Amino acid sequence: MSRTQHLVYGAGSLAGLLVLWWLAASYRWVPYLTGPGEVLGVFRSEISELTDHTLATVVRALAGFGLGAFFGIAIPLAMGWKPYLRAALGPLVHLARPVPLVTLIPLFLLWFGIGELGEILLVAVGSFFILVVVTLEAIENVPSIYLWAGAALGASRGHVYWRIIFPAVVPSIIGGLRVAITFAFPLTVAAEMMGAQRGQGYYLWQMVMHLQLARMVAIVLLLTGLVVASDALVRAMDRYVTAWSERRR
Amino acid sequence: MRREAATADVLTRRLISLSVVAAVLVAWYLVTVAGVVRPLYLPGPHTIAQLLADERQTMVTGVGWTVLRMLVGFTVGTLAGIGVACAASWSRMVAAIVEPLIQVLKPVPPLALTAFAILWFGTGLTGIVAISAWACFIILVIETREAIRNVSPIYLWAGAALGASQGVVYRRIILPAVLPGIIGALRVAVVMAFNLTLLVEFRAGAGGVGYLLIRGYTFLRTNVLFAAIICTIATTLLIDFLLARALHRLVQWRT
Repeated sequence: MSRTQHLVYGAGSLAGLLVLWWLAASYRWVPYLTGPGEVLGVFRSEISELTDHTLATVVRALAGFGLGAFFGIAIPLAMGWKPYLRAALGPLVHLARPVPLVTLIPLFLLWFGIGELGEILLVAVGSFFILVVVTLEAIENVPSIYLWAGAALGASRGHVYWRIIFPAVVPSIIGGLRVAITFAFPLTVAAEMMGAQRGQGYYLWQMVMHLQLARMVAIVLLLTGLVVASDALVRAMDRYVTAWSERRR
Repeated sequence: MRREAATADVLTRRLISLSVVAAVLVAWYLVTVAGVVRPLYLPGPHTIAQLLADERQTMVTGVGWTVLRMLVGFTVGTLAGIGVACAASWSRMVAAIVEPLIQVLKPVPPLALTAFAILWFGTGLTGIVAISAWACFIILVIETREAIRNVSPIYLWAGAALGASQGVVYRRIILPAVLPGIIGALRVAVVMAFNLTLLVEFRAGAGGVGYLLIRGYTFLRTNVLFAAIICTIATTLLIDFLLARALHRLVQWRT
């Protein structure tokens, strides 16, 4: 199959999806469906409201992500440095890690009410555990030959840690950051759906209650945009920071 | 000498680990008994244990419902995902049609799609499992495609040289070779399905753990909330353990 054929089929399937959506919406094949035209209309008429709620979500997601990522990287690094710290914190981390994040939503609503704090902390916990797991594993997987080479060349323990282990785990940490940030936005929205007074999730659930399908689709498209954009941002950072690594991308 | 020192070291670390966990439990108990925190916000471990014992029936049924729903979504989505990935590697035309669709739909967050589930599929089983199935489908399509691409061509050449038909190559060479590559995806998919099932249950899941959680919150029965969270943690650990064991058996032949 030639390259042009490949492109034609690809374009055809995407166009087919749009046409199918349009047909299903205009001929009411499915109850509660809205067409691409209506969604565009919403973007035109409600743009200020949509951006307002999106901004609220972005602030919460980034605050939670920053908080969680900081501790999620710092604590495993400290655990790798001090074996006793690792012995103390390891079991706690492994006991708490398997909690499905969604179950924390009602708990945090109870503890922190429906303000910003609960959502930010939920995202922080989510990002924290993603990064803790990734960073701990990366520290363990640093090839021993690097450490032997460092020791053979007379590097001190601190030197080995900061000049060999730390750079070696950076690519994995960035991988974890990618997972965490693309999860931060949907998690914020999930929390907002259960209790908030602003944000994409709040808006989405309001529109569910009022059966405003076009507005629901519009806000989910904006959320998808956030996910794609943040992922692209971290990937760009990755290319810049880990240009030295041999890993294929 | 050195070995003795090393065992002593391991022992000390074990002791530290155990005592930290014990200390957290004791501190939790003391803080609640002393009345530093109101039980509305943090019930003591003993009251949660009491509740787990008293309402064993409700908790077990709740977990059962949620796990059942999660497994339906997971199974349907996973099988569909693996199937489509195989079809796409079988025929280039299928690949050319499916791939752009997957790329476009992949970043749409399933957590947000749960808002559509009930409108489109109702509050029955379909509505509860639809989004989990979708999420598992997307994860598995992408990872299986990747795993199939990574199957060493030597296996395929060997199969072809020995006269295997394409069907036999798929069943006997590609599928077994792909399994180790999608273990990670399967574990991610299970967690995702669990989260999604719970989120839908918050709104429409009579009987499941998600329903128990939200009821605990609305009626301010915090010990129910905590008991349900503990049940979900135990369930996640159990499922992950069983999945890891089952998959380990499936890929034993590798080494």
